[in-house]
Amino acid sequence: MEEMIDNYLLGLLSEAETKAFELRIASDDKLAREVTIQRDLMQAAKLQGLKLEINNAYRKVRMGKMLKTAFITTLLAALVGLGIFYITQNKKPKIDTTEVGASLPNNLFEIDNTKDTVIETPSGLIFHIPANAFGDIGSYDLEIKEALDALDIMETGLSTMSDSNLLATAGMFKITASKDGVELQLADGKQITAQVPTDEVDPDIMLFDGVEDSTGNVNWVNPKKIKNYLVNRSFDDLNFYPPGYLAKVAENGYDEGNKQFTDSLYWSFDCGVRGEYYNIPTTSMTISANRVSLTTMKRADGSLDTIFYKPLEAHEYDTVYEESQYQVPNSESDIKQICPASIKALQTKRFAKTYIATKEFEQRLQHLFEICDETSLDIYIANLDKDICYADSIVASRMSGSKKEIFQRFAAQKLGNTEKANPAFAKLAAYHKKKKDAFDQAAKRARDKVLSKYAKADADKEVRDLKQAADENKDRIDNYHKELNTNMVEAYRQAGLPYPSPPLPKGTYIIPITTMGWKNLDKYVLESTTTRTSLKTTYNGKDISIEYHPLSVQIENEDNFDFVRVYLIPDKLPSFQKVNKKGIFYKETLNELFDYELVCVAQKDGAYYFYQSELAKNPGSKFISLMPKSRKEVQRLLQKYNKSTSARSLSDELEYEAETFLYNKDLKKRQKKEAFRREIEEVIWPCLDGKVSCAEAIVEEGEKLFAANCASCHNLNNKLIGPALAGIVDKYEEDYQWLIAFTKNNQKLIKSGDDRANAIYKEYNGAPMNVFENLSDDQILSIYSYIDCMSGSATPRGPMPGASEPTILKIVENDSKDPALSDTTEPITLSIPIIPFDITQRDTIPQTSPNTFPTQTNLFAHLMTEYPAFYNQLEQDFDLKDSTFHASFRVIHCNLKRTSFITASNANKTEQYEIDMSTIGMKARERKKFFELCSQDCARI
Amino acid sequence: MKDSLLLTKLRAGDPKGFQKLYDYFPVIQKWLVANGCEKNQTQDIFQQALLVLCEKVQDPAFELSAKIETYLFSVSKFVWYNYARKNSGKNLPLKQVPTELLELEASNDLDALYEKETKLDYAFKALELISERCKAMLQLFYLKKKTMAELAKEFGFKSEKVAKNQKYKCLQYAKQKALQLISE
Repeated sequence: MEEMIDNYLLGLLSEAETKAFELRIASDDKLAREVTIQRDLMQAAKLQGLKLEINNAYRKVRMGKMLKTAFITTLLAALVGLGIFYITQNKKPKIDTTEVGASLPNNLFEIDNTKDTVIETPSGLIFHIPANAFGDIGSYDLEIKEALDALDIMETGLSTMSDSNLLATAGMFKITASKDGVELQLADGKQITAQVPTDEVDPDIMLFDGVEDSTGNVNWVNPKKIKNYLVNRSFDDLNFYPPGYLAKVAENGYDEGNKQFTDSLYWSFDCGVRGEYYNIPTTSMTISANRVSLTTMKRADGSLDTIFYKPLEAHEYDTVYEESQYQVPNSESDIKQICPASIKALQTKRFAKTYIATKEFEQRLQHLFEICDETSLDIYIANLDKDICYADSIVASRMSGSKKEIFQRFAAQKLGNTEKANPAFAKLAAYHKKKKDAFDQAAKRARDKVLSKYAKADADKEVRDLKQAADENKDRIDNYHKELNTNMVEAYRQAGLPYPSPPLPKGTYIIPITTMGWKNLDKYVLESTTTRTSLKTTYNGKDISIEYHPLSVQIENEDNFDFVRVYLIPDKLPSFQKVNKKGIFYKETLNELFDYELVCVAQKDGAYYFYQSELAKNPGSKFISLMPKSRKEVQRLLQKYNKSTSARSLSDELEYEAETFLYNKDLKKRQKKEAFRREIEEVIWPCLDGKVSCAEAIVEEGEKLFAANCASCHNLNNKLIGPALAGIVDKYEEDYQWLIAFTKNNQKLIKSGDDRANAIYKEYNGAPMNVFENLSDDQILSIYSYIDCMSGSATPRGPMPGASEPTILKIVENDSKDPALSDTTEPITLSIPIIPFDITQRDTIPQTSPNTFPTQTNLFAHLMTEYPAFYNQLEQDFDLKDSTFHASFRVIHCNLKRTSFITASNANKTEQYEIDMSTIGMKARERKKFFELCSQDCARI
Repeated sequence: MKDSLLLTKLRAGDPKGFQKLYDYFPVIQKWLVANGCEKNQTQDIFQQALLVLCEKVQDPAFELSAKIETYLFSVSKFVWYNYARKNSGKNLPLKQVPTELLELEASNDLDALYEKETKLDYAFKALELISERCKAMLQLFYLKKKTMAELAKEFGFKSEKVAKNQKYKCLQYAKQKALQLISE
């Protein structure tokens, strides 16, 4: 029976059998129960097996861990033979074939003795072999055997015994060199450097030499302390860019692998640029109304035509030029960002042998970029003569939160310096400063040059535009008056009446009305001329007709040209007319009284194309092909149409068009370039508008002080006993000294008759604020820095001005007595400010800054949409309409992560919830930042 | 190791797969400790999370919506929250509310395991009452889907038939014990 049930449970029965068996189960209670029990047993056995499996795996992992590899940068001195398995000659085992480690795979390298060589074995061991390490012998073979993990070590039968002591091993390797079968010895004074990778550095690891005894066992002797030299790398192999920089470059379609390009781009950002950008015109210039007076006329097709009445005077051009100079970006900033110039100055020859040029420093620099802490960078530079762990510990002491832990971990590695380190390195800090300033100045100058080039191009363009507009305007008005006059004369002629003289005064539309009777006629002609439409009327029994005929021109392959311009040259008018484009046609109406010539000029990549013809009285639509012509030829052809009455010649006109085209092309390029720079800038200055600067130590201190001294009366966003404090720093930014004085002793200020103090005193009905003479100015500043950070002002700043920076060269002993360096497994949740927040006042909560939760006036609506899971949970657990229901929240920061702990309670019970709100309501960049920081740090605390 | 490869290994019951999962332990342990878990507790919590994962993996239709590491992390979190709520009076009685799909999944999987364990409580007890050898045989047969021939080799039986007989005997014992436990 068991077998049958088994087969059924395991699905081994055929479909028919299964059906039959299920029928039996249905009718047989006893069988049904047996099936249930057997199924449960089966599942239980499976689960138990799994548990066992997991446990076994754990044991194996632990075993393996005990033999874990360690990171040593070791020095293999030119000692007895090479390597660890050196077998003493006199005690050589009888049978050569049973050599220890025979089961290990050989890593054979052919080395060219004339060059310095770096080799890497499959398991990551790296050997630096200098040229001529074995004397002048040409090429030779190098053999490396390695047993880095437990399995290898056991398989080879290697023990980890030193005499009778058991050693913990960080891996073993054997290195032998030979030429033509003869084993080689290191030449005098030559040494090979080996790097063994590891996850953790054990400072007590030592190097042993292996000596094989007659029984084939290896004894480990001659322990040597390992000197933790850092290995210099070429700057080309190091990534000294801010995190995300190369990715951003690639994202924008540039070659991230082109170091020359990425370097020059990065270094082109000077220290002064802080998110203030050159103001690029987004469209071509428009003429501002106060420079020329405008009037608008309606054209035949209903479109509006703007006519300028007052041409610009020459001196006005200068004014325009001056006004279009661009403001130089503000170079003052209180955020201590890491300047590209500073990084550039590091990548010079003088630092090539310092610990700057190491992978270890590269790692540290990445973290420094994230906190935007130039001071910490300076600490590393100021202590180049000492071991890198010295700077590590100083930097760790001035950090806070997760970054502190990271630098504590760095310090705990107790890494040394490079081999070539010497006391003279201490002087490099001054050199660096000098270089950095020089590079920065150079970058600034280069940038200013570019910006002033932009500004000049824009100003030139504006002058050109204004002059063009004024000239065009004058011509148009002249043409208009002349045409009107012609039409008038014609109309009077047709009416059989004499045309009154003098003709219309220039520069105005006012038509002289000589008698009452002429009014209508004048108006018609005026209207006909203005709208360029035919006039048919009768006057005085006579037919009056002014004819206008439509012209429409289409150009073959017009899209192929950079630009195309169509002009009409009327024989009797003072200037030419530019024909406007409507859809794909150039349209205008032609006055029958004139003869017109059509001229069409186009340009493509600087080459000219031309068309010209005389037009019939009623030409209708024309389809024309342009012919290529040389520039000279075009000039010559246009010469014919230049009229002395016109303000501009057709050649000038064409030149203007070509310049405009080039300017627009250049503008587009500039816009693209500047947009790219803007994006890059976000990566280079990560603390510009993020909240990272709020993670600085001073803010954390302020957080604690606020909780201890202020939180009982003040809330950031709600009026408690005292006012809500969000935004207060913005309010008093100009006069923070007053704010400090008030905070310290408001009573004193009130008594001294200070207006502002008394106003506040009055507003709060004479309720005095506590006196904080016990707090120092710096402490008060730190509180306001914290408030400022929490207020989420639009332009976050670093610590308030005047806040003291930790001194750079404060010496921290790097032994374990220092609490900063001791193992910190404590949760970081120790100093959480508790921000009481009353959910029952949900409808009266003022709109606050977007960085403070909640942002909505109706918290519940906000929760419902943004955190539905949480809201449902809350609703499940509580009756939200219950008058005793109350909820409060407190926020834990971890860099940009805000985790809120919400405590909800009613008369009967209390629940706590945790929700992570960091991903909502943040800017995309901040969110990215948060993910970077928190996936590395906070989540793993 | 890629997640897909790891999954295959876990499904095949390859010990290397289980061992690989311990790579994720240090990170999770850190988090646990930072959130108030005793260091010697972390191993249990993590193993519980592994169990959830391995259980889940047994289902051939299963597909992971996130990286195994992320999933394990989420489950571990919930194991710890559950544990803390159950076992501590004052210390960290937080109720973790899943805010993401993955967390919801992790939380549900964990609940399913708890439910299953409660339901199977008597079966576990019954298996503890039979001989170690019997237990091991049932585990190998059901979990690792070993054939009778393999079982015979592993346990030193003369033939497949003997192994088969032995296995059913073991099952019978366990059933008897289970019945007793139920009737009690």
